[in-house]
Amino acid sequence: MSHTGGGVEGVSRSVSPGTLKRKREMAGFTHSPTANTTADKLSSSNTFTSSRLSHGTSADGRTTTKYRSPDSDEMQQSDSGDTLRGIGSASSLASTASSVFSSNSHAFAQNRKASLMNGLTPLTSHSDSSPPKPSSPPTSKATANMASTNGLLATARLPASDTPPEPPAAHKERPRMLPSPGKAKGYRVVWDPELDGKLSKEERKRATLRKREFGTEKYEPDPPPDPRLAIPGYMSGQCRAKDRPSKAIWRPAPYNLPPYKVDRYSVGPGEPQQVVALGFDPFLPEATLKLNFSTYGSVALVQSKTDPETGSFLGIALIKYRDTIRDGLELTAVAAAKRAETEFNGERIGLHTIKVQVDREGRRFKRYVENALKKAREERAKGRSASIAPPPPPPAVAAIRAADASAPPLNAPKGPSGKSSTAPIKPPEGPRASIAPNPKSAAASLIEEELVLSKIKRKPYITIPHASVPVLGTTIPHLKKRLKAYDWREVRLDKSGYYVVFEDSKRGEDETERCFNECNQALLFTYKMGMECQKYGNPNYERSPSPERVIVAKQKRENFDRLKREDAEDMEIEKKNRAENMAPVQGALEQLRIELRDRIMGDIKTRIAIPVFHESLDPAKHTAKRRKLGLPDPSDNDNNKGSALLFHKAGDTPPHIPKGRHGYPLSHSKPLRPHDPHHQRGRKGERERDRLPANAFADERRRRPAPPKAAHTRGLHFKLQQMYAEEEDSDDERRTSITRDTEDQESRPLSRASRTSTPFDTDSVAETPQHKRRKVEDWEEEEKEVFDGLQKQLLGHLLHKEPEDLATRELEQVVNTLPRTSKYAIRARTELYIRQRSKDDDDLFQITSRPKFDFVADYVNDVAMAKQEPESRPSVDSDVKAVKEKAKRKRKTKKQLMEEQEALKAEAKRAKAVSKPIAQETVAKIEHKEIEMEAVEELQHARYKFTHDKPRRTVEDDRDMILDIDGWQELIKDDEDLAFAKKAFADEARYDIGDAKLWAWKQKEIKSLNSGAYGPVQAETGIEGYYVPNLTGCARTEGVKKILNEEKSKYLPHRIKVQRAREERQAQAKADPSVAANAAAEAAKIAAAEKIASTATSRSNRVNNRRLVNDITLQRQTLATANSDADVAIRFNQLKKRKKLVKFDRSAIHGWGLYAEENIAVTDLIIEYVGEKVRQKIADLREIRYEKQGVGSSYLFRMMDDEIVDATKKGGIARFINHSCSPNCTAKIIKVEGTPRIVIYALKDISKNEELTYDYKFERELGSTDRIPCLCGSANCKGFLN
Amino acid sequence: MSITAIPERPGRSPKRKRSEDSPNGGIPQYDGATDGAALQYAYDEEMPSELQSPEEQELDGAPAKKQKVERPTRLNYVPYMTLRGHKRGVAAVKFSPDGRWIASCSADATIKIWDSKTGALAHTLEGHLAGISTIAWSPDSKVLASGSDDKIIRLWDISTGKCTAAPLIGHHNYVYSLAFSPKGNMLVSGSYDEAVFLWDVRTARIMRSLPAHSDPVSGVDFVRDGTLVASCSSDGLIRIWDTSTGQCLKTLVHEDNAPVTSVRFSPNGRFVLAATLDSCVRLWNYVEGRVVKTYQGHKNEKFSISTAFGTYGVEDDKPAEVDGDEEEQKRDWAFAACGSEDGRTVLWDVSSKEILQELKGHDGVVLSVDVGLEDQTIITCGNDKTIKMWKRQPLPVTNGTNGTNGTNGNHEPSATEPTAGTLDEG
Repeated sequence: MSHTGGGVEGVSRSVSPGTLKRKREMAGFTHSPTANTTADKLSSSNTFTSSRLSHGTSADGRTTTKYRSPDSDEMQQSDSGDTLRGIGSASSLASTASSVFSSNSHAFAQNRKASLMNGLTPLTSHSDSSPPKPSSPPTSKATANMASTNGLLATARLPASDTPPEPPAAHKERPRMLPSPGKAKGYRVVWDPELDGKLSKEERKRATLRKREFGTEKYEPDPPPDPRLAIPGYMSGQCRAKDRPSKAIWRPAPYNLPPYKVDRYSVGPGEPQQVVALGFDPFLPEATLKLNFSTYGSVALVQSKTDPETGSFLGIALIKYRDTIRDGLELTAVAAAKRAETEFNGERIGLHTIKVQVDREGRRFKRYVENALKKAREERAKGRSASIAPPPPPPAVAAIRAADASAPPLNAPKGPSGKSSTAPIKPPEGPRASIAPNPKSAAASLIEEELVLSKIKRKPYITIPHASVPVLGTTIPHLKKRLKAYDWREVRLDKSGYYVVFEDSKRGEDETERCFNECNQALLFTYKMGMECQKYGNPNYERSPSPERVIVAKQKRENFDRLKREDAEDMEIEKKNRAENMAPVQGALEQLRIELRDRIMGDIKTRIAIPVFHESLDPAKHTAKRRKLGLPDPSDNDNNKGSALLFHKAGDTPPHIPKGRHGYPLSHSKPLRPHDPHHQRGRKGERERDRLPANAFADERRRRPAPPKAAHTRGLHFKLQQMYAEEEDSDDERRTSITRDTEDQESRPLSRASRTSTPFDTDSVAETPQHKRRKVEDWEEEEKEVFDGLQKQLLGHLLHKEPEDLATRELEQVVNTLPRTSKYAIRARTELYIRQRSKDDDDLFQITSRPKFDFVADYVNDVAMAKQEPESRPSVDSDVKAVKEKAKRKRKTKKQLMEEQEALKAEAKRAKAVSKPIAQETVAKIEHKEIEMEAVEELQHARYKFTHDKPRRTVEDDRDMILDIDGWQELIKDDEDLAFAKKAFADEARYDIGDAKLWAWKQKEIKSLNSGAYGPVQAETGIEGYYVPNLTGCARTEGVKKILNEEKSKYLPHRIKVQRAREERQAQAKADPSVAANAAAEAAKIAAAEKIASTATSRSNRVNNRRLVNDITLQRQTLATANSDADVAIRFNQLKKRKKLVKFDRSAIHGWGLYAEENIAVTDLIIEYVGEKVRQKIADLREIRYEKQGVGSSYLFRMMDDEIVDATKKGGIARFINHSCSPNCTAKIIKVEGTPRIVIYALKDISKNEELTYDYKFERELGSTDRIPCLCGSANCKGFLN
Repeated sequence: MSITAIPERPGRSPKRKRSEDSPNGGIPQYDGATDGAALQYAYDEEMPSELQSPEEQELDGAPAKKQKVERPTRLNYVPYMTLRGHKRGVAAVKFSPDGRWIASCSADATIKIWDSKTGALAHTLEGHLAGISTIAWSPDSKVLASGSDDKIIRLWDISTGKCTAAPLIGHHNYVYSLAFSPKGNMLVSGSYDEAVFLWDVRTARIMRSLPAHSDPVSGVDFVRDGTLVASCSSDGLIRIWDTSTGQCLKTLVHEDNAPVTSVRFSPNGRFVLAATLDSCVRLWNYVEGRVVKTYQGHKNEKFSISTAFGTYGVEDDKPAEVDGDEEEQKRDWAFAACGSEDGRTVLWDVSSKEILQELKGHDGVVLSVDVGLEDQTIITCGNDKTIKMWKRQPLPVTNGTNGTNGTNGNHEPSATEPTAGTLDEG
């Protein structure tokens, strides 16, 4: 609808002034109908005006193109076009336009005939038949012509005529069928003497016919107004028939669907299988192009577009892929095209950055080609208009090729040789226009003015000096032919000789050499080719720095300067601050304190720690262990070397004593254990210490600057393991929540899971960052990456710092700014993470706040016990010693085991007692099976720790752990535990669960699915919130039961909300008696108000009634004569009249509620409770029926003893008013004209949108099982309605 | 319930108009629908339109001609296999839309996926913490949604048997009914918490919560184009909702107000079939808000039993009655099926309300019934922990009226039937 509206609009806007204009032109036309030149001029001016017109009003493309046609013949055409349009859309135009048309068509026919006589094709058909295209040649030419003046029109059109033929100007006036406008169309007799009765016979004969010409009027009557314009909203497109619905109704899609995937059922072109490439060198051979694109998939077709006029390549190609199987993988054309777009776009072929875009149907390709052609044409046109000399009509290159006899044939192979033969024809420095028209000059132009040598640069080339072969343009093709066996790039020629230029690569160099070897001194015609080989390009070529490079260097320098400046400024500021803030005495004290502390620390470390270290690291002490584990003598062990170093530098106590302790023995004890990077830390620390001498006495809890990276002394397998670790780190985002959970569980240090169990755990926490830091070190040696300009701009000097040196804020900035994949960003992120961790750890340390001596002491103990450790490992239990060790531990854990056993028993009992939930029962009955199954693994999971000060439990039981399968697996550590467990469950029957492992796995899966956790959990995995298990298992198998209100309020969210609010209030009231008092006061007030209301109503009733009676009598008087039913009507109306505006809506209290829609003053009547009046008996029956039908709400209102108003099926909305214990309304029974009515009055001032409530005043049923809970939520709520 | 007085309304579908030309006046009769023409007509009304071939529609103009083909008065579905494996009552059973799988959910908190051809157990989906009341297949048969007493709706990938990462959590009590939208992007769920939720399947979020009922929502269904949702509740109401706006468009109440336990749109989307606890199954014209048909003969007073639609045609082994007209042979009629609390499954002809067959085989309540893709198979499940599959067989030649039904229905899987049918989980 809008479309037609717009169309009409366009027409009326563009046409109405247009017609006037044209009329004026027509008038002019009639005045000088014969002169050719005038006609020509006229037509051009006509078109000119109309085209100007169309510029102003170009509402649609049609109008524009029509009007723009510059040629005289198209004057008619534009008219006829108008007429057609007028007929098609605006009938108002038809009358005028047709008259115009009739006069013009005459001229048109004439014109046509004339042009035929001229031997020229009447070309009106050209533009007549073809629909105007915005980019089609005539249009562009037309615009070009418009730019030229009218006088130049003819000449300007001439050169353009070489492309599509242009209509020639009409040279002769065409005969017209109808007289042109302005000319008399005929005459009308105004007086006929024959008919004049007054005249005598003679007079009649003498008298001549008096006549008057007509049709000479220069104006046409105004067209009648468009009747459609009378329709309101016609122009804006908003009119529509009343009975028809608007199509413009917004129908929101319910859901945004993802785009349909293309599959074999889809219709349409499918996903793009081809890409359009542009921007490459137009002379790039198709084969190269194909090669480039075939890296992404099998290329089916390469279509490189040529200019249809010149035959030159446009540098636009369409590459079509096909489906293939490569390396056993199916590679679809679609994927290939996509890959080509994503990966090859912006890449380079040769020197040109190319643009690759997918092209579903080749439209993009077409568009590009069109654009390129248009541009080329414009360029050519410009070139032609610039040169006065008429350009040669045929395409230049073809002419040259054809004319040059020695040139390779046109059908020469399209290899590099064939292609490049055209290259020299187009000298890069000159425009194409400079190509001489005759072949001779073309050949001559091949001799370049400038020396070729200076342009060759680094490309390998061979020179044939002019001494050996005379300089002649015509020789080039021969030379090319002669050298066709070699893969040269160009053959160029200047006055010093020929230059055969080769590819700038190793291959090119080889080729050069080969060519030289084979062709030097060979014959070319009668000449001997004396060659000079320059394999490495022009030996004298001096490379000038590229502008980019200069800019980069400059930027670098600037950056550096700026940083330096900033640093200096910072320093200045700091100095100033220091000078301002630091009192000298304070400073001295501070200094003194620091020195003192350092001294003490130094003493502790040198006097106490170092000897201990020395002793403990004595290789002699570890010989037994070493021997056992088959380790070589420590002298050549790098580990030992580390300790030696440590020892050597004992003077400055290592900053990481507590950490070193843990690391060494372990790393010795299990050489083949899975790599735990923590344990490597100690050694790394030493390296670090080598380089960082002085900082040893810094606060140990502080994070030290990252140590320099480790050298490659470690085996490659460590690298490999670290590689995975790193991957795991950076892949964080890709993982789903579940996998993240699991991985976290594994990847985080064991100690972190239970850090409270032993004091040592704190170390390992602290050491985690160390391990991470090591990774940071590894990155360091990777090459620095390149940052783009934007990042540089954003981050500036931060990029030059190591992430370790950046402030946290800066780190965050780096992380946020740089792409996720950037190495630098990854490092920064890691660093950030480390810092966060270490900060956490710092906190931890402060909590534990153990004196440092403890560490040392512990360490001593630890080392002493380290000897025994391997034996104590359960996996190596063959040793006699180990058995003894085990026995010892048994003693230690006896008590604990007893407890455990008891727990098992309790569990068993519980399981027995609660036989209903299957899952529990099964757990209880099968765990011994489980235990058997998992026992072996369990042993490995168990963590064993050492005690130092007093005997402790080896294993701390988690009392809160839920004893599901994971729980049991966690609890039962070894065979011994298992034996106890077995004993405990000896009297339990086995439960058939099929495959125990499968069952266990499923149970775990279910648990993790519902709790999101693996492994032992502290909370029972169960159904959250309100849940009552169904006896039969599920709701549907259970059948439909009546749900009591009481139960509903346990799970219905709105009821819970109200209930909670009430409980809160009650609790508050309990806590604060004054509130309760207030509430009580409130209640009292309400009661009082009610009382007042009753009295007030009785009083106001009288008043109201009096007023009503007055009203009624008044109305009765007026109506009495008209209607006998008036009395009834009045009675019906009298209550309605004073009703307040209310509405019903969902209520928080129950179902629906009634809400005030206006402010209601106290004691105002609000609404009448309307319903069927029934007797008690009926009411009872109905109540039962309603109950049966499941009508949730009771709408029975007792009015009098035996009169009950039932609003359930028939009734007003007053029935929706809910109960409240502190109501804002009250129900009163008033008598209106002898009949009792229930009316709701306001007890308080009620504001708008407040819910109306009254006290239902049900009888109390204190002992009842199904009391209706009150949900009013008021402060003094009684809890139940009844 | 007299409907005859309903005036003609303008703007009916052409089909409807055509039917009104028939001597019967075009109004389906509530009772006394034995008249042949009325039968035919009513049939057109209720028959899923997609089942009508173009030829048929052309022929519709001549109803007299159609009467040549006699509608079979009996159906003969025989027990084909019994699927065992659930440990507790089977709450629902559903054919996948592609007909390949049968999914069953049970009070033992498991879902089992069976191959519909062989009856082989393909998957046992475990993950719910409580019994599962309802399941729904996605239209592409790749995802199964299940609603459990643990208040969670889970989506299962059938190919892997794994639960998708994000369950739909939001109900406050047992999830009681589920239905997938025809596009598979939405899921509607009814729960004991009296709410109907529209879920966005992809994001696992509630799109819309429909303040539906004052009692547990026992059934939900999507109309075939997904624009309407029907919900029913024990409060006796059936409500029709606009999916996109969440507006209640229609509330259907029968005067008895018996709890409605199941609601289902007819395949042509113009009617809803609702089972109520007064042992009736009613076909509602929800546009006009009136009951079109009431089917009786089963027992349904306590359990929430689902219903199903199916079609049946003239069998091939009765060529004598067919006058060689190709189109005539393609005639299909629709039947409605509902389980009964006495172990039967009753099939009614939709238009005539005749009982076509009673499938006897379950002990106790038949909780769910579903009709397979080609209408050749029916599956039923019940509180007796079994799922039974019934295959359509040609009617025996010597058929007494009631005797055949009884014997066919009662006979246990014999040796002639595929032994693969009785499967116990290993």
